[in-house]
Amino acid sequence: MIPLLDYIVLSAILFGIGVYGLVSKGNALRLFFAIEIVINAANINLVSFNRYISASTPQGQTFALFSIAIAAAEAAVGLAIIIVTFRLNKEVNVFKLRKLKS
Amino acid sequence: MAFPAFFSGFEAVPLLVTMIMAVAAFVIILLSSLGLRARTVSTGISVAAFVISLALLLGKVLGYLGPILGPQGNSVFAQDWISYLFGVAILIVSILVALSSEDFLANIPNASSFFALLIFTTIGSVLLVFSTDLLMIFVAWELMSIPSYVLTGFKKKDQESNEAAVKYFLISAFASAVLLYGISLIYVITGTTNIYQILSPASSSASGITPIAVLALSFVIAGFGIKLSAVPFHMWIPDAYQGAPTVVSALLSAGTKGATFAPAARIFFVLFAGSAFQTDWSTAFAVLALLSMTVGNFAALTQRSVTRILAYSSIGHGGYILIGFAAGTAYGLTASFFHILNYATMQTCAFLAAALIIREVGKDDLLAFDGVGRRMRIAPIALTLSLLALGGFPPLNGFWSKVFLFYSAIGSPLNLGWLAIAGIINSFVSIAFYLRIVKHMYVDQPQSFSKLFESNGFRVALIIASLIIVGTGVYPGPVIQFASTTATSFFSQISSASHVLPAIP
Repeated sequence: MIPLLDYIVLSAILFGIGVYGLVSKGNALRLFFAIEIVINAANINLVSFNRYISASTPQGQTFALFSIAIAAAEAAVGLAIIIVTFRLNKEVNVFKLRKLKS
Repeated sequence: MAFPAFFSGFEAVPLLVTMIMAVAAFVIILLSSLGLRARTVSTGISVAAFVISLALLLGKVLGYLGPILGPQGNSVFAQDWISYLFGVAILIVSILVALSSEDFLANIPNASSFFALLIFTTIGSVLLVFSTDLLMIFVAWELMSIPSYVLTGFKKKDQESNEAAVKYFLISAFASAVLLYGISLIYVITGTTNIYQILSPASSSASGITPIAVLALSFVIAGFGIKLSAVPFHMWIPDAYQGAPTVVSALLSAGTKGATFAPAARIFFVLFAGSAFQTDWSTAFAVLALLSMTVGNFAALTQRSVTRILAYSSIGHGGYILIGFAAGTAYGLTASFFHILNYATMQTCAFLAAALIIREVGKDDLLAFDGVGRRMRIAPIALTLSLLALGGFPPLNGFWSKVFLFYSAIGSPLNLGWLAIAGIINSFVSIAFYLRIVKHMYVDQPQSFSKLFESNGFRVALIIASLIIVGTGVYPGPVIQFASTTATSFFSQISSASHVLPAIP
């Protein structure tokens, strides 16, 4: 059986990739995918811990299912907003969207 | 957790409130799909739903609908004072926003879906303040956030509204993701997701993994910090509030932001008081409070756009509220809760009055506000009142809660006198830019003297908000009593739960 630590390390690596994607690029789609990676890192934590620590009470599994469903809803709204942005500006780089200024 | 027990302790009132609002939202969607798209109908339905919900919550608070019990067992919802206090604040904001949206949406298509989304955001906020389970907090958090992304970008053809929506969506989705990661680490440490169960001794056996606890704490602080617009995480606030339709800015700055303080109180005071998390988060909160106040108020001094000034003022007020959290006493929480109630009406009133004026003069620049005092009747008076209240002028409600906040910092066992001094200095600085808007409205000469139109919806909303501001200012007793009952009952929950814990040095 794969030890629990491997899952934690995988989750931590995914979290790192997600945060790197968020700080390094300005493309809204890339940022969005980076956020999805962070959410999935959290899901791995929840599911693997549930399996190893308390397999009889499925709280972590339930939580992961909820968060997958919610991430899908968020993706629907988020992609719609990004598509409208592209139609209006022909551009999805958030650093090049500069209508709002102080 | 056995699933039949999932809803135990969930009495009728929160269930009714949620159901009434959900039914109202679906009726609005149904009517609009049947071709009945009149804004007045949608406004009427949503305001009616909000008013009935507010009446139910107030009935419970005033004791007509039975006593308010504490959190029950491992239920995912709590029926305690804190949820009712925040529920009342949220519903007042939603009523005011719905009343003024009727006219504000005159030239924007799909008004009925606006109201449905407004109701869904309100349901999410109300559920968020009732939740005691981390799973439920996350679900309600997203139910509150996702419709608000759409509301922010509701002017679909407008580039500014769209840019605001993209920025708000990306930052806020990142906040949810980081919060979820923090929650998953809390689950890793404690093996449960119920906040009040984490306090029980059986689940605190896994204590001693301090580095993970610190990580979990910092992720949760970051997630909440973004939503509460505390300062290192505030960059998106001015853009989002300026670009969004201004009535939505009122909802974002007062409703959803205010609602986020409730789970913050639960998580930090209850969960992080647990033995696995004996971490010093008060200092982090004191620093966040200091940074938010200072950056918010000083950045507002240099702005030319009224919505941006109000956005920075919202950041500053988030800082004031965090003073009470940092103080860590029942008195501090009383002050915070009192200020949240006041801030909800003050900030909503300011944003709504600004929304009306901006819509009529066409720009949100300070110069466009010149002489508005002579061209409109109610909006400038309401804006002046709410700005004075935000600045903390004596007979208005903002003054009392600020006094309470600064006094709680001085009286805190953590020696936060410096925070009180910083808060007082910030209060004086903030008066400068609040009065600047008032000066532009009343002293400067207008470019034209033609009267500007004020619709009845806006008038009713602004008059209600002004009456609450003045009424609470002149007679603050009952509201202070409400906040104080909330804070003391919240603290008695913590102490009655945590005395069973093994003390960790």
